[in-house]
Amino acid sequence: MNGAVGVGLWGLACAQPVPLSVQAEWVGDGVELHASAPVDTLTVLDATGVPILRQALAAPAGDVFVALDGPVGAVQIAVTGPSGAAQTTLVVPLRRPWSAEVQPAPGSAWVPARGRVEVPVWGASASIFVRFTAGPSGVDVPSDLGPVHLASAGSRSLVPIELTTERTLRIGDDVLTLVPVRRDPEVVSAGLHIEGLVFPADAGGLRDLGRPIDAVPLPSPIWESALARLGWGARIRADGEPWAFVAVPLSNASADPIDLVVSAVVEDTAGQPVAAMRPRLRSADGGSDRVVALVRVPAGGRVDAVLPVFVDVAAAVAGEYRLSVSAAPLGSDAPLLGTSTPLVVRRGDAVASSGFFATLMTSALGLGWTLRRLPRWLRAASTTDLMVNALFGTTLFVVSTATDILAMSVGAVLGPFATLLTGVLYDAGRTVLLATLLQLQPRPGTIALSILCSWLGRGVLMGTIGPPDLIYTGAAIALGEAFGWLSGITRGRPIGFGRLVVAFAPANALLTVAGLWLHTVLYRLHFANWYILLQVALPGFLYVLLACWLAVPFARSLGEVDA
Amino acid sequence: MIHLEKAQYVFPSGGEVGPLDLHVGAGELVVLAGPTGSGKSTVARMVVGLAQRHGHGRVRGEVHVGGRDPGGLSGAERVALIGFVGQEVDDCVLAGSCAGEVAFALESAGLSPSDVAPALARVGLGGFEERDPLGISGGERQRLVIAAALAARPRVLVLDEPLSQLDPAGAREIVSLLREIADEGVAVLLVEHRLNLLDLADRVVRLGPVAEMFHVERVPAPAPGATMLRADQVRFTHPGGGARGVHDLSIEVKDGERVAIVGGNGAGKSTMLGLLSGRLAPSSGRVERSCSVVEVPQNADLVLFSATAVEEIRYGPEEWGRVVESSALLAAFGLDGLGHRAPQALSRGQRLRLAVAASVADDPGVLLLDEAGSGQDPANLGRLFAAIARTAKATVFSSHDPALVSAWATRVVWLDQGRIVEDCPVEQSTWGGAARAARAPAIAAAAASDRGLDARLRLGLVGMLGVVVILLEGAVPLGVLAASLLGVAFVHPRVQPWRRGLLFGALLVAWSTAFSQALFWSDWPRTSLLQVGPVHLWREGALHGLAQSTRFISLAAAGLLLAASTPTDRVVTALRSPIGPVRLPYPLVIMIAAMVRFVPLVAGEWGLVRAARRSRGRPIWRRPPQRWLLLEVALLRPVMARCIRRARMLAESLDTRGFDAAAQRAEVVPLAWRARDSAVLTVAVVVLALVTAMRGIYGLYTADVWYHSGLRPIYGFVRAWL
Repeated sequence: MNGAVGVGLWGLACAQPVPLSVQAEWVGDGVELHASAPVDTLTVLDATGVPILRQALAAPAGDVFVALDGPVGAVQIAVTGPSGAAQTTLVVPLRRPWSAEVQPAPGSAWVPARGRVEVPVWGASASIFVRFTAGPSGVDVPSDLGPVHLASAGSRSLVPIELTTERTLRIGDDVLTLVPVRRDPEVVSAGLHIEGLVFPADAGGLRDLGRPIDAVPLPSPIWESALARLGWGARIRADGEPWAFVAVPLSNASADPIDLVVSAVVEDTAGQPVAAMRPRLRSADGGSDRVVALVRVPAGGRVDAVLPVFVDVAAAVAGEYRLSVSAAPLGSDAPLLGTSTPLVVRRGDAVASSGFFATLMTSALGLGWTLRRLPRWLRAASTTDLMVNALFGTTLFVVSTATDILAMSVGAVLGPFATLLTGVLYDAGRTVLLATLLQLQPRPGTIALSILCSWLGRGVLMGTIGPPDLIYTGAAIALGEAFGWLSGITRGRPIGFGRLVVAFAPANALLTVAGLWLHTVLYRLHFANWYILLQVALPGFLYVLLACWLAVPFARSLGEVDA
Repeated sequence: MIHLEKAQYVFPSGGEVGPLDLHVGAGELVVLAGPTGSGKSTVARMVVGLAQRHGHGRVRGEVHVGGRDPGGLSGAERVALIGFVGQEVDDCVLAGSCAGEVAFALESAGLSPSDVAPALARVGLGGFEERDPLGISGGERQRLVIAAALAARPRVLVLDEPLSQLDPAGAREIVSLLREIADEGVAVLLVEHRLNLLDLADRVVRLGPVAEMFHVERVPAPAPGATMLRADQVRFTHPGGGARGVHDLSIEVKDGERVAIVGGNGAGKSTMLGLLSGRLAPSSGRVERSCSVVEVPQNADLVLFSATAVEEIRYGPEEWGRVVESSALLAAFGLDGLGHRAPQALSRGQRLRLAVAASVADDPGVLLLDEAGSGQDPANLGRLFAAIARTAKATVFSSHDPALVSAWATRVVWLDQGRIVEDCPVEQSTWGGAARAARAPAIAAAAASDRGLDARLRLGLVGMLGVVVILLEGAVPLGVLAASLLGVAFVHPRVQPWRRGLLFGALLVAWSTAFSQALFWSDWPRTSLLQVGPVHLWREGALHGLAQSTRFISLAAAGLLLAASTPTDRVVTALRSPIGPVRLPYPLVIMIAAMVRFVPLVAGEWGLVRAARRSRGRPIWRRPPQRWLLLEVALLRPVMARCIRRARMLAESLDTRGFDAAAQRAEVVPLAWRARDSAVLTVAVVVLALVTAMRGIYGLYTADVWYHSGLRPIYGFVRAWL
């Protein structure tokens, strides 16, 4: 017995499934399909293979009727079901040389002009249209709307209807009954809500987590073009593609579903549409400045209307705008709901990011060079030289800490301008110390060792060993040694005002701006361009000139002490 | 062991020391005595080999130590043969712990770490291994330096005026110790001029005119006049210094008086003088001055900030619109013909005399001298004080030297542990050195325990924090981080005394960042808080600045914690210990150690320079900006000059302890990496890696480089929490 069951199961397992086949038959206003096994989806394609109808069945069935009203000639019908897929071809006979459709509300889908069609009426009457389309040749269509003459194949004619009460029309052999359904805007809007806007969102209406809320951050043109050149960018967009989406969560507390036309526009502070943020597919939006979506909000339900937001990246100007959204009932121009949210456009700072990159490179150069030369410098220096260098570092630390504390106190009143005052002391102190050190040890590596030792000592004493400190130190070494060499001082030329200026002023100016870039990029601090220029011009350059003038006699007098 | 035959040192300027013969055998304690400038130190430097290796001059004759030329010894040979203790002990101590200081020479000699404790115990510093050398008394520090010199068990010990900074009791202890060392078979050469302490020596070798050494010129003191200076119940406590300071100090100084402040090392003499001069503000009580008071600090050359000696003399009088006859004053202090010279380029004795002359030129009602004569022989000091007596109205000076006190003071004020224990005419004073050997209290030692995390790990954690604060974006996580770190820092015992100041500093940082960002805010949205002409202060910028300031506060708090909780020598050791493949070259580590070690001294000296200038002239801002700036720069001159001298001294000290930049060194007191450190490091690295990876993924997304829908939970987490 068990063996028989086993053999039976084995036979079932090994049996080839019966291939699905389907037959189609034209039955006047549609197609009857007879499949060899139940199917659950079907697709009708025209002669060129373009789908003209897709339908998912509520439950798999073997015999299915599909209403077809429109195509004439050969169509393909494809079905799929649990047992596979099959397709067949059918020639749809020419029923009549024209078709008629009605649009119950502006913006809604066209439906065949026969049977009972409900028309929402917002007010006294509703304006709707019946559309006539000629078949393979011109034709006159008999109807209650008067004679409709279609001159040639494919020509169309729109006939308006002002509907106040129920009306029955005969079109050809069909009967169309238009039933007005009264809608009270106040009642509908009382139950309808926009639950806040979600911007930016993705095409599915989910919040875009990678972008700031209510903002359009645009990269600097350099970054944008770099991405394009490298072929990177998950979000590289075609011209007609939206920059992001705004999701409009709508809820309907009433007992009836409602069809809404939801539209959005980005306006400037004067309420004018922003040119750089108009819809890019102008024809699709009828040349308006608004993007539009149609949604049906179910009774007692909630739905997201998702609208694209277009940004002309090249033309967009940083600033503050508003994203306004309104929702009007299908068939009415009067909006039921409206809301808006601030929308800011930000532009990346190309100068700061390029400067940061340049600082990084300079720093890498400085640190790499130091790593390579450090053993040689240490071997060449006497113990006294090393100690002198270290103790100059101590003094530099004391002076800089004192001026830091002073700057903090003065900063309570003068804010960022405190350095214009305290910078005189800091730059004077730093320059005279370094000049003196160079007077005592005029050779390559002196500045680098001093800066390196100061940084490490500061790290031990104050914990300043983070990446910005390292980057800054590397840049300081590279610039200090480069300009020290250019000035000739580290090549043994005697110290004078001119040489000190060449050695310190450009390096200090560059280092000042590098420091600001580091703060901008790593610590997200903002600096006005005029402020950066001020810092570079005064503490960065002018104060150092002054300090060089003071440093010459100072360094010489201490040179005497050493001698 | 020491053999000098017709040894001579010729300076580049042409001057010379010697020729002389000197022989010191094993087990002998020989004193080399002579007046200031007679060449004692030069002889000691020749014996040690410093003159040969570091001097700019030439050594002639025969100089042998243990049968070898000391100038040609390698680092390890030097430290095994000769121990050396320099003149300025404070400038020779490099490590952050007593054990580290002793270990330095052991490392040079390649000896075992087990020798550290015996070396300390030998000089009576058993149990001092983890103590901070800056937190022990002067006498103890002197012993420490001797322990470091003896650590490698050299056969010869040379000491250059090791007693100059010590009170009589402390000096006697050191001499007794040297006797013990000599009795163990070590040849000891001691350079010193306080012969009254040297009864334990085997021989005294004299350099220069010996008679002059003991000639003391005395000028009669006038009868005391009106009260010039009065301190009433003054109390002062050093911040974080525990019991250090002075307590209930009351004193009156009258016109014409010469008051000697005496007491052991750390008794509070310098503090008292600082309070009398106004350099220090009393914690309670009051100091009344009815005349100008000028202080000459312990390192007198710190007050010399002018370009020439004449300018130095004229500085004070010109500040107050007076004219002074500078050449007469220079002559009175034995500085004829040196008026055009840079003050810092003068000899040590000349700098001291110039500093006092410049102070006297200010015509002070009271002149305060803080051990200004230490290291000078009595005859030199006699001449100096005679000149002072002719010009100043009243003098208050601190000293360890009983001879000077009995010769010059009219009154003695004896301090012990910050309190006056005796205030009477000099004839009635019981202070006389050995009579009441007041021992300085050990200064509350900085807790040098290192029972927590490994110093390398601490450095690594601070570095990782530097990365994390860059990665974090949200105000909430940044704020929480800053508050946590500040909270932890504030409960640390070493930070607690500074809590208010640090909190104020944190508020200043927050305020100034908010201020700058409110001014520079260029993003939208922005709402004007205040408008002055075209300038706006933007509300959003202020909030952004507040949030961003927490980065700086976090970093500062972490740095503070590192500094407070980790002895600097452990951090320095950490820098020379391999962290993965990273290992700093040893000379660089020594540079960092020196830099860190001298920060408190240099800061203190800079403060002294500024205080001295303040006492000699008008407030700094009461002059045109360019004069103000020139003066600010000039104030760096004495500090830098001292740095150069100190660097030389330190380099020579390192040299005599076997430092060789090219040689590899093994750590004698290595750091111990424990399992707990590994666990903490693992957690920290994992957290950092996670934060970095998540932030990187999010950054790729926001920069439009790469997006994956499956990573949305990460995007959401980063957005909400990071």
